[in-house]
Amino acid sequence: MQSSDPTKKKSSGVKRLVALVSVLVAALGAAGFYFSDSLANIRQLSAEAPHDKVSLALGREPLAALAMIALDQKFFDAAGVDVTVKKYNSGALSLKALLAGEAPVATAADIPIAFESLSRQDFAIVATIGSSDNEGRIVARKDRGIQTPADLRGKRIATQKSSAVHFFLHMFLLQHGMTAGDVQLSFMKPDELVKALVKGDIDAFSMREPFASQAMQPLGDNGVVFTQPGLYRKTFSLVVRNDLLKQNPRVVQRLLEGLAQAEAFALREPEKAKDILARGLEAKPAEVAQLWKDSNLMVSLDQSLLVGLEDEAKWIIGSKLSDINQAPSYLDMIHVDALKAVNPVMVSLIH
Amino acid sequence: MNIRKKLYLNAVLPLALVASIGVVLYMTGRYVSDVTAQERVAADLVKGVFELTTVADEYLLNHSERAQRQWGMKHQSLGQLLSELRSKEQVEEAILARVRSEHQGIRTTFSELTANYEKAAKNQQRQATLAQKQAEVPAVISTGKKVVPNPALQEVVAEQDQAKREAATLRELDTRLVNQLLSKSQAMVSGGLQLARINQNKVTQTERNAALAIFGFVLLTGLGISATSLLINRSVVRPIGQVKQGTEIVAKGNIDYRLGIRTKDEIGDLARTFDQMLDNLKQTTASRDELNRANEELKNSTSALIQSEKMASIGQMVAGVAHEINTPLAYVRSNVEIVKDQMDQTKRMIDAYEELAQALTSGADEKSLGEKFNRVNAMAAEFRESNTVEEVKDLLARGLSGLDQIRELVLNLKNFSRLDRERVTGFNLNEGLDNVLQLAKPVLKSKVKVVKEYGEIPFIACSPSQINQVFLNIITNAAQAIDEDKGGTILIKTARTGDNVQIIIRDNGRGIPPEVLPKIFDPFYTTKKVGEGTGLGLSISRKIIEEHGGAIQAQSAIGKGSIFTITLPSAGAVVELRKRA
Ligand SMILES: Nc1ncnc2c1ncn2[C@@H]1O[C@H](COP(=O)(O)OP(=O)(O)OP(=O)(O)O)[C@@H](O)[C@H]1O
Ligand SMILES: [Mg+2]
Repeated sequence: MQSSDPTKKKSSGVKRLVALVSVLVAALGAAGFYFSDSLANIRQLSAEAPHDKVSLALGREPLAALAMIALDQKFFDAAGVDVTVKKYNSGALSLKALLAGEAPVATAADIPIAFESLSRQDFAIVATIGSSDNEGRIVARKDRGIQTPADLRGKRIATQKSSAVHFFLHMFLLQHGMTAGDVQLSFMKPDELVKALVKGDIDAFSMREPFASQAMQPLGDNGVVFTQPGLYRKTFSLVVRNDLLKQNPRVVQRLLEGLAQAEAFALREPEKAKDILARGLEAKPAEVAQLWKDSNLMVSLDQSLLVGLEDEAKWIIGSKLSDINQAPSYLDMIHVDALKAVNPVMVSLIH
Repeated sequence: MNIRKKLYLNAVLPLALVASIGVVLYMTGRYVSDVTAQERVAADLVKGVFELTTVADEYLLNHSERAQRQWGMKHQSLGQLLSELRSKEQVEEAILARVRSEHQGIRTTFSELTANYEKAAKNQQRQATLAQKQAEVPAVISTGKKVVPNPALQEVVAEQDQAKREAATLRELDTRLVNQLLSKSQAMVSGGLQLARINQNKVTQTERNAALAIFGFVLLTGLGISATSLLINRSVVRPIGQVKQGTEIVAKGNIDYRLGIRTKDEIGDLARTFDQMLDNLKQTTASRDELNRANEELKNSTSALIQSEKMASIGQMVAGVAHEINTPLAYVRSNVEIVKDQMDQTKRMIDAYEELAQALTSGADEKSLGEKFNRVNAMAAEFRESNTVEEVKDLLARGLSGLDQIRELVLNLKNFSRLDRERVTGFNLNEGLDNVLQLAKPVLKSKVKVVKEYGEIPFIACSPSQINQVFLNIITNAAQAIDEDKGGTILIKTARTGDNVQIIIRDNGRGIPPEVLPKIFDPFYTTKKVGEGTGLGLSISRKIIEEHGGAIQAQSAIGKGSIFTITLPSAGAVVELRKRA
């Protein structure tokens, strides 16, 4: 019997260990290779790359809820983008700000987009972040003899020009057999509408929350609100200037990633999400509850967006609200790639 | 955990692997079929929405009542489907909620659309009626001599204008509503597509997860097997190595070594038993050492005993020798005394002669001369008569022979103990036997007749005193076995057998009982009275013979006698013999 050499034994043990470790490493490597897409995804979503900076013109509308949540919960930060917010009373105003060069990103409803797109095509829709078919509110004074929608005929009615509520008023009047010519129509900014109605300068206005409630409070029994669920399906979108899309498409993906996280949060924590919306709108929780029910908050791009924009452009042109009588190709004004990269499932727009 | 359990675990782990992979595959299969079912539902949803849109398109084209009814049916069945759909996933539920709300919204829009169409139809009818009226009503009426435009016609025209305006509004609303309908349909289709895609992704993801899970399981189990193997290696193979090493160390003689393995398995038990065994062994070794010491002491005392036995036999021999010497000495002495007495007579005669010679020389008287002369003659005659000279001669001759005997004895004694302990190269065994027989005479006495049959044997290399001691012992025993009254014979035979020399000493004494025979070479075994025999004679003899490379054996028959056969090697001794010769 040869004497056993302990060092020899040890070295063979080490060899075995090395073999084992290398097999494990090889296995992990193979797994890594096999699952590399998922890993790549994870890497893409992580905010490891240097943070981007962007300013956002935010229209303070119920359908901007996802943007508000993403800001409040720092989802944009998590997605790797530092967002500077500029707040506006409506999507229409925030889109105007974008076009004026105040911010490269804005949130806006379909109507302002359809309206502005007639003269400018240097921006694109990157995703719809919400829709609702019960947003429009007609608030009227009873002391002006308005009890039913039919009573609106011949009355002084104001609204925000070229906005969703403008279109809603149009639809509402049509629904009740009237056109713009059957009323005394005037245009004001959102906050002015409330003041004018309370003061009695106008008999009614077409607007949405939180302004409707803001007017109804002082009016009390003297006020009446008309709604028409299902009449007009409004969509609200994230709009980006083309130069930003060209310069830094990554920032758009990151913004969409932040919004997608907000969407998940809204599903996960609806109460907290409603609180955030209430704060963002400076509205009462009860008002927000109804709004929440009527809103579909989802980051997506679908065919209905095209249909809506085209019809709305027809309306604008037909109503001579713009000097331009030619609608652009909306298919070209929708940027699909960013959302496709972040969440391809939600892209059902034919492209 | 003991080794059995470990090995068992090692055997069971792969089984667990296969089982868990099976479970994962089964679960995956189930999940995939679940998801596939959901996907089918999503497809049903898309199909339903598509059909709804198709019917809506038909309605928009021809406004048929059938299409309107079909739309209502389809909408309802879609509603049914939507109300039945449920998802655990929040995202899917959110999409479903959106589709449901669009589904509700589209109903509103469609109702508005149909209502609007009915209004438009009525409006058309009204316009037709008005047109007819306009045609019927004369444009002018004459009121006497004046022809004026018919106010009734004006009224109709105004009514027609209003109807036309109304129609325009209805048309515009129709356009809006159609687009709303379309937009909502699209939104519903989107929802359905999204659900379908999510489910598709889920299937893909699930398959991927399953692959990952299987991979993970394989990896984990592989790790587990490796770990248990390592564990077994650590706790089984290595301790076995330690045990092996330990046994080797102990085998080399280090019984103070302990394994010290304290594991709670079979090897631990083995090691504990091994250590216990070593403890015992150590104790045994200690007692063995003690035994060795005792044995050493015994050996020492035995050699002392052997020495004393030798002394005793020498003493015995000396007693015999003294007797042997005494006998001749006695008669040598008495002869010498007789001779001495004779010498007185001789002296007296010599004196008488001297007197005569003096008287002769001094001239004494004849008478006294005569007297003296007669006396001398008488003396001489007496001397001759008494045969004194012959007698003295004889006495002296016998004295001489006695002295010779004594000289021979002394020589034997000298030979017997010649070069004690020293080995000589050429020793004549026959001579040795003769020597011993001489010395053994007192024991042999007259009762024993010794018959010698010496053969031609070579001188051997040996220690003569020791070999003589052996012969003396055996011859003494033989003599002692022979009864005083009966007498007996001791036959001493030497012969060469091949390379050996054989010495046979046979007696016809009382013999040795068979039960005693095996014991006679044992030390201290004796059948003799206390003080008479030590029982060491044969034992020492065997020792001496064996030391010389030979053998000694005994045969015996009761009443017939015993034969002791000694064999001694002679090889190498022949050359010596020739040299001496
Ligand atoms: N020739 C023989 N015939 C019968 N018995 C014998 C013979 N030789 C030996 N024995 C037996 O063997 C015994 C042992 O002999 P051994 O010479 O060893 O001792 P011993 O003669 O008794 O004592 P010791 O020799 O010390 O005086 C003797 O006591 C005797 O009984
Ligand atoms: Mg004896």
